[in-house]
Order: sequence, then structure tokens, then C-alpha cells
Amino acid sequence: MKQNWDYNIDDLLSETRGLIDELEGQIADTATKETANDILKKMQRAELEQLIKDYGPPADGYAEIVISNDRMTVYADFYPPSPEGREIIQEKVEDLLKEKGVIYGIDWDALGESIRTCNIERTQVTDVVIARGSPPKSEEPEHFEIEDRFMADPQKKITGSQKEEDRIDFHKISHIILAKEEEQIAHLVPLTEGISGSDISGLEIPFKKETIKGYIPGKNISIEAGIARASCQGRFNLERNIFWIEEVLEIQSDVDYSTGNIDFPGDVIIRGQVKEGFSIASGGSLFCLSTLDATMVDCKKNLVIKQGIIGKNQGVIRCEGSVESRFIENCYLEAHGNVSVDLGIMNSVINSRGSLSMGKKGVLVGGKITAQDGIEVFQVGTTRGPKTELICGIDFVVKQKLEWIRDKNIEINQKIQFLDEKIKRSENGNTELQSIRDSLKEGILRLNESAMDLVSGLDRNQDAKILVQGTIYANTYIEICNISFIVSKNMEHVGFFLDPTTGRIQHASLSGIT
Amino acid sequence: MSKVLIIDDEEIIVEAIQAILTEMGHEVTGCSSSEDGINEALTKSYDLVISDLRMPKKNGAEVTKEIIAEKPDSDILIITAYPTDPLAKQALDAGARSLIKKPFEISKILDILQKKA
Repeated sequence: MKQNWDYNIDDLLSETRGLIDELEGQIADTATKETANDILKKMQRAELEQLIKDYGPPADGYAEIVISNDRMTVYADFYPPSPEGREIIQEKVEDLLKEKGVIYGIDWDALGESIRTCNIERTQVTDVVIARGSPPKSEEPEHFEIEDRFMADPQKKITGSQKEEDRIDFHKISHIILAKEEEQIAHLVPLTEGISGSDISGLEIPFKKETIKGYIPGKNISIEAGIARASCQGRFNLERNIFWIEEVLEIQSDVDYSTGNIDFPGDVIIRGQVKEGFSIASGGSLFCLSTLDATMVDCKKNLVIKQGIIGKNQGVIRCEGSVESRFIENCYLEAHGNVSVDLGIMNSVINSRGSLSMGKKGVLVGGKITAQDGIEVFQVGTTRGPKTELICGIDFVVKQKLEWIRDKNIEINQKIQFLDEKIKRSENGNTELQSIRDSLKEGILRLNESAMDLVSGLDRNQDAKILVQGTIYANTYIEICNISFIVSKNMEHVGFFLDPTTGRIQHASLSGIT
Repeated sequence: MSKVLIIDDEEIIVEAIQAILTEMGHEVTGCSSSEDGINEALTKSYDLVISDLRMPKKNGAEVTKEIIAEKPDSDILIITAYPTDPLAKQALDAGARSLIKKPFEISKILDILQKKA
């Protein structure tokens, strides 16, 4: 950058060199023979500058302006005058700014103060921000923000602060965040108007319109004056961007004679046990923090049992979501979702429209397991235990309907046979009996039509597999898409699948199947 | 429409399956003895053979073996009360496609007939 002096260093050096060259001839014959060039070389530039400052011609103070690349900031360096030079004049700096197009956001105070300091103290003042542009402020639409408590990770929150007896093992239990009635769940953040900005040249910078993924209030949420509150006690839910409260019934003790059977439209949380002979119907999810000894359980969403399910060969559990439990024993269970059991399944009938998966050491002994999307287990059967049946690939609901149609078919056919006998024996043919017979025939026809429609939906997953990490014992019965296979000898670390080429069940080492 | 052969010494089972499948438009033939069944299967063409497992004279495994020996592409289902019956395994090893639990799993029968169609 060129200085604002009449001289510059390089010109001065060359002048000085010229002077010394002249002098050289005069001192060439002296004893020291120190040449002008030697003298020159020894002199540091700084020394020379000082010399020039002290002895050079008078230099005025000046300012240098730098504008940032984004034209939002202007920096200035201020250089003081030499002893005889003129001080920096603010108007000149202002002219310089105008010249460079800086007309907006000038910090006159900083400018004035820097000039004063430079002039009075005769020191350089550098990197001073003397002008700033205004960044635009984005427009944000009106949206709901959910309170922190409901967005926090309940696992971290609970295990850190709760007492031992209250602690919920969220490794096994789905997240539960409860809200009290009237509790604030979210608040409405009003529209934030956008504001255009400006650079230091006064050029307008338009504002952006932000798209915010706001939350939408759902069931059991009331809104008043921009505050979203729970309209009942319940479990906080957030799915995609909709938040709502699932009404929750919380039972602190056991379900027994003191509570009676439970029938509730929302979620149910049971902290005690569910005693034998008692039934639970939940319109939402059911969470049981102890064991479930129930006779009948009907759950419209998910079922989570912290301990296990003990059916005593009477238990019937129907769940339209998924099931999680530590163990299941002597129970009949239907789930439209996946079934996850940690430790063991003993002598139970389990039907799932999803998959069955067990824990690392999960053992499955006896009973019949139907899982449309496959089974993954550590061990199947034992050395002398009851035989186990594993069925995959089919939709158990369709199968049940077809078997129901079969039973109705048999029943109606028997009635028709009975009527045929009666009609034969009656003298005038009995038109009334004939009419009933025709209706029954019509009924069978409709049933069979339904059966034909259903059959196409029976085989749902020909890729379903049975994966056994440990041992599968001999005589285990396997079926995939209605094709049968009986394990003839104990096998280790093996998978079973339907071979599309042969239409038969094949088996292979687990490492070869994925 | 498929042609189905049922080999079962229990008439009631034969009649029940016959009634349902006939109503659905399939042609069903019933044999109450294993030997008649084998003979029928080998002399005529059937899309599906359903055989009981435990029968006098020849059991379902033997029936399967004899039919498969002459007609390896035959589709045979075995009716049994106990899927893990050792005889059932013999029938599967002999070439039977699947086991059906007593009295009969109509869903399996219909599923296999539909696949064949």
C-alpha cells in the first residue's frame, strides 16, 4: 500500500545510496575503508525509518480503510503524523469512506476516538471497526415448541434422580413420560417478522423465510392463549411432528381383588403384579413393571412386561402392537407386531404377524410359535423336553379365518345332511325345510368364496427364516410357507430357509445366511 | 379346478374335505384304504394327494414312498395328529411336501392348490 508521504522508503534508500556513493570517494582512502554500502547494509530498515521520521521531511497522519469481502465490515488503521506533520482530519477520513462507498453503519464514536488517540498520543491505532452492515433477520412462522421436560431423554433423567424402588429399567421398557392434567406441554412461538439487512454501501439484503418443522397438537391437548396443555393425565407421545397425550391409568399396586378387572380406553401402567384370574383391557399400550399372571389381556397397542408372563395354561393375551417380555410361560399370545422375549418361552402358543426375536441366551422350549417374518433364537428345545413347532411365512390371522371357515363348513354340512334326512322322510317335501336347506347351501357358497379370497393372503413372506445361534434339538418341527421339515439331529449355529428352486426347506450354517 | 385324491380310512375326514373342496370347484376322489389310494394315484393323474399317516396295512410314509417312486413330481400332504411323529419324518424324507394336522388344515390345502393353479 502506498504511503501518504512525499517520500517512500525505497526512493529514500536509493537517494541515500546515491549520497553515500558520492561520499565513498571522499572516505575511500581512510583507514577503516568502510564503504557506504557496508554502512547501508548495517542499517536496519527500522533504523532508517526512525531516521526518516526524526530527520526526514514532515509527514501527515493518515488512515487506511479495508472493507471485508462480504461488505459487512469496515476496518481502519490510523497512523500518527511525524513531529512536524499535520494531524489526521476526520473530514478527510469521511471523504475517504465516501470515496470507497461506505455510507451505512459508520461508528462515528469509534472513528472519532481512534483519530483523537492517534493524534494526541502519536501512536498507531489499528484494526478498528468503524462501520458495520446489518445482517437480515429471517422470518420464522408461528409454531409450537415443546417444553424441555418432554423432549429430554427419560432414561438419563430417571436413572439419575429416582430412588431404587421407583427406578424403571428403560432398557426393557419403552420410554414413558407422564404428564399431569393441565400441565403445560408446549407453547406457541408467534410469527417472527423478517427484517431486511444492509451492507456498508447501503445495499439492501433481503431476509429469508425459514421453514420450521413445528409441532402439531393432537389428542388430549387443549390450547389457550398460545399455551398447549394436557387435558388429562397421561403419557406424552410424539410421533413424526404430532404430539398428544395418551390417557393413562396408573395402578400403583397389584391388580387383584382390591382393583378388580381393568378396562381402560388409554394406556395402562401397572406397578405391581397382575394376579391370576384378573383381566386387563387397554385401549392403548399396557406396561407392567412386574409379572403378568393374568387370565385375559387385550391391548390395542403395545405390551411391555418388565418381568414375565405366566399364563398357567389359561392365559390368553391379544395385542395389536408389539410385545416385549423377559419370559413367557404356558400362555397363548397373539401379536400383530413383533415379539421380543429376553430369556425364555416355555410351552406357549405364540402367533405374531411380525417376527419373534429372543435375547442372546434366549431358549424356546415346547409349544408352537408362528411368526410371519421369521424367528431368531439362541436355543430350540432341550435334550428331553417337549417338542417345539416353529412356523414362519404365513399370516396367522388369515389361517385362523380359514380354519374357522372350515369348521363352519363342517357344521353346516352336517345340518344339511340332517335336513336332507328330514325332507326325505316328510310326505310333502316340506317347503320350509327346503328353504332352510337352500339358505344353508347359500351360506356355504359365500363362506367358500371368502376362503378363496383369503388364501391369496396366507403366504406372506417366503423369505422368512429361522435362525438358531446355539443349538436346535432333534425332532423340532419347522414349517415355512406351509412346507414342512423335521430336524433329524441336533444342529448348531444354523439357519433354515425355503429354497425357491426346490420348494423345500434347506438349512445352512448361519455364517452362510444373510 | 384341481384334481385331488384323499386317502384316509376315516370316512368322516374324507367327506369333510370332499365337501369343502368340491364346493370350491375342485374334483375330489376319496379312498378309504391305502392300497386303493396307491393304485388310484399311480393309474390316474392328480394335482394333489392327501394321505393320512396312520392307516392299516400301509401307513402314509409307505404310501408316499410308493407314489414318489413312480411319480417323483407328485405333491403329497400327510395328515397327522402329531407333527413330530417319527413316521411323519419318514413321510417327509420320502418326499411328502408338508404335514397337516388332524382333522385337516384347510388353509394349507387351499394354499398349495392355489400355488399349483
